[in-house]
Amino acid sequence: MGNASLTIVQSSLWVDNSDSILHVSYDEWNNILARYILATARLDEPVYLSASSAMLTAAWYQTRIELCSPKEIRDCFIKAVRRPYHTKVIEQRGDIGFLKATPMHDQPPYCLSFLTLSVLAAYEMKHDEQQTAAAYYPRLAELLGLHTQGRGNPVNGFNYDVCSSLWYDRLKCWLHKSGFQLALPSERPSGTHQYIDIPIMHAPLRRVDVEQLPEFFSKASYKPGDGVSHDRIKYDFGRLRLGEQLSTKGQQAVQSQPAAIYAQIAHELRSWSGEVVGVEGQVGSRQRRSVIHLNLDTEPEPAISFVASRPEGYPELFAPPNQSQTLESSRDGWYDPVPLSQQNEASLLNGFVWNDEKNPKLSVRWAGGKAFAFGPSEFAGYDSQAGLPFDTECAVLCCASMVEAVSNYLAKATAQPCQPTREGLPNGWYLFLNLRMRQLVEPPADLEVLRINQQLNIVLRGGLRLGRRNIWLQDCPPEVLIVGGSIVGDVATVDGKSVQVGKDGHLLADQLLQEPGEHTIKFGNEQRQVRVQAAHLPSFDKGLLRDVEDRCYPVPLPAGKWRLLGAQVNQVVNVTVDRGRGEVRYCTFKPMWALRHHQQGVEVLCLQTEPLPPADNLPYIAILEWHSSVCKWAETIVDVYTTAPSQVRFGGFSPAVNGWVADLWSKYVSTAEAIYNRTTGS
Amino acid sequence: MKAEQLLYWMSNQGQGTYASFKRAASQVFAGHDDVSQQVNFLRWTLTELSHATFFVDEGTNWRIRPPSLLGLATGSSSRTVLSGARSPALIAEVADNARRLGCDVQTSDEDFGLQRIVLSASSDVLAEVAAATKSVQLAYLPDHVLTLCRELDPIRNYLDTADEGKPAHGWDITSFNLTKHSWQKEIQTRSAIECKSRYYEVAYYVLLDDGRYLKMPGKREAVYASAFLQQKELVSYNPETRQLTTPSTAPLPIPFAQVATLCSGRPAQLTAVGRVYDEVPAVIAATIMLLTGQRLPPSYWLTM
Repeated sequence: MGNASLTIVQSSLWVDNSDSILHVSYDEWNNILARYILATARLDEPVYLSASSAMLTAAWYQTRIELCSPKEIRDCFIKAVRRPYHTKVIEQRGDIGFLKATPMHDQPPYCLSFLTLSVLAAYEMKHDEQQTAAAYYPRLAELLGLHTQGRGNPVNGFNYDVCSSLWYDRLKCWLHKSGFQLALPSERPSGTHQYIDIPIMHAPLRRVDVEQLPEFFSKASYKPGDGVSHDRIKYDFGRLRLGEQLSTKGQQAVQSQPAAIYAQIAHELRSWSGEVVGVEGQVGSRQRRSVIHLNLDTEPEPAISFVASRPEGYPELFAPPNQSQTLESSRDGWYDPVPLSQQNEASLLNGFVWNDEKNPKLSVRWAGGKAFAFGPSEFAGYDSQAGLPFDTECAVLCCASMVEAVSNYLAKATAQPCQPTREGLPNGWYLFLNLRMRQLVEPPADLEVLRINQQLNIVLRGGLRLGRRNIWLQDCPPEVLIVGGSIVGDVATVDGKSVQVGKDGHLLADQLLQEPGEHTIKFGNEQRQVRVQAAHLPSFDKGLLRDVEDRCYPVPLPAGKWRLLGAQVNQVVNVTVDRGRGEVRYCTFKPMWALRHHQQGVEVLCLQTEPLPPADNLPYIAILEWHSSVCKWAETIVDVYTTAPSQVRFGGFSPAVNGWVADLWSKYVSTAEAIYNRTTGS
Repeated sequence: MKAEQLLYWMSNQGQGTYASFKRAASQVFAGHDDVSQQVNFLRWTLTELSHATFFVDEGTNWRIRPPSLLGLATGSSSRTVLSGARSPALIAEVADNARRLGCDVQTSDEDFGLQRIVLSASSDVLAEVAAATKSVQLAYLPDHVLTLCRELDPIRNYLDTADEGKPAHGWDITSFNLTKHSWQKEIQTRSAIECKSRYYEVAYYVLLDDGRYLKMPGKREAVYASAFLQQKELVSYNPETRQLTTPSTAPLPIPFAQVATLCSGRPAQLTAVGRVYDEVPAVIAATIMLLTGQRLPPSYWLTM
């Protein structure tokens, strides 16, 4: 391989886009990808990188809580890979040998992000392109921001021996240490053209085929972010004839590497936002549709809600015209549940599509149906899902016409009679609660949705989530449930430590998940990662912080004409309260006394629980400047002082004034007399 | 899980819908019989302590308030309570700064496991503590209670400016009995009226003698407006203990409850006699009582 000089396609591509808020280093991307790969890998199946925008987005939300669009995340990733490539290969005129760098202990191989980008290049090849070097390398060059070296030639700095070594000696060994097997051709490629088999193998479905998947997910009743077994995907793949909708290349891939196809579909499902794009739309007016699933809350009594997913670009408030309900979003990626009333029987059965009033191209759709399976929800209660989990507490909702068939089927599957309830449900619907599938029974033909699912799964339920995926607040980790057939006493591991599965599949792992950091839960071939971190405070709008610039003190007063006096000798103001019950007036100084004259004499109210003494150290000149108010202040006090004691009443809102009010008042009198004498010259 | 952790979560999120709060807060009360009611109590407590604002702009969102040292209404501005957004790291930072600058720090566990963190020192020192906090901008608002008092809208104004309305057909209607302090089916004039639809929608009115219904913004306002019309006393004040008390079924409207709560930085205690707010200065108690349409507390006249 030559290392001829390279030309950068657009030098501006190397410059950070100032509009983008994302600046994530190559090393950080390595960690993001490593966590995702380890979290989604299965011990019994080969690992495929399956790089796509969706996979990068899923990996991002596994680790980060910043909300970004898939495009931003993809751009951020590409930029992160370009940076070291540019430095090492272009500026230093080296080759990709720098990617063989040995990582620190427990770190992923340094080449991970580059290899992922090489798979992304395969994924983004056009569907009609042949799987040739001539088609592949221009894509790779484009992602790296480089000119190609002519059709079929790799990008500059590329060395296929090194690249092959990165796959076989670095990535494969790293996964092997964790017990996983990397999907690789059985024979090590030995040339430029053979090399491209590896990235193509890791992205067997290209974008055009991947765009078919949301419709498939929707029809198969998968939920956004679901972890569904490859067996289940294979079953639904055949049942719903997805293969027939794929491109020729996609169909060929199904024949040649089905395991890779199912792995890629599983990756896409994990990152699916619940959106189906381009349905029922015409060219140039792409309709977007997100799916709805049901949530069943059993406490304090059964209540069913619609829960709509909220893909990127959907508004926080989704308002369908002619509907009393609006959808509001508070969880990233979801709208809040909309409770079903007794009158929702028809919409539950027949389904509906709601369009957003402001942007009719956005819609949410409930497919409807006659029966629904419910398994443990990651949030609360149960969610409708594809199939009933084996030996796990679950529920079934069905309409009246199906109740007998469902009851018979459930009786066989649970090995006990099953009675439904109707309380609190839409009219004509029945709910079977507290079910546990103990027998593998084939469902009747029209109850396929209730097929028993033996896939073991780790459900992370509740806790306080900080992000879209697997990040929880410190001290508030999720409850860990093993669904699909665990038994009491089975052993899972948390960070390598054995933990027993308790009643109802609960993993007794609370203490192990309290500490901040990454935690890995493994059970059988399943594993999940939990990240626990401390709260991070956002920045705040200063406008929310308000304090009084000019203090304003409340003065509750009975009816009458009052004069308020403060501790400063110029603080005096008259207020009139008309209402019989009294009123609250506001005073710009802190009033100490309120005085009023009436027929029997003078009333003096001490307004403060801890009143201040008079400020008697004012310079004479200042007193002159305030002459009018100072005189008024002093005259008011002197006037009271010269009134016959029998005609003066002192008081306050608190009996506590009794002890010191006389002493304090005498200080005010002294100050007032001094001022009075100065100003009158007497 | 304790409410303190929920507060950290709310601080991290910044804002959300009420449904998100309810879902998260329900975990604080897992296993309780009346989770919804407890969540409501917690929502009021967080509001009254000025940690968060609920139903922002009359919508369904909540929003955490900025981290602040709020002056307590103890006669001077030398005591503050840490309010608003916070995290264990912020609490530790504030406590460290406070101790370094010679400020007394008292921490206690309150209802629902919320922490009450009170800092006492001179105003200058408290301002220094706020300024020394580097991880976030910590506001020092020594006169926060005064600000809240200035913004109190008298209950009389609700009646003067209320729109007329009428309960929708088919809704359940109850009225508040000011003698028994409970909601009842029997409808009385000059009473607070609660209307509930079968879809859990609610509306509040005050029914006048002439049969007109005046719309009220909430249950608490409706109850106090009706008490004003009937000249019934709901709030009492004991100047010796400095405790302000309301019936447990007739809590103060939120802005008034906020003022009463921030006198001590501690939410009202539910006791056999009702909701009791501690350390309320007489002038604040009188302000609350007058503005909620109640009588002034009696004056104490001395013989000099």
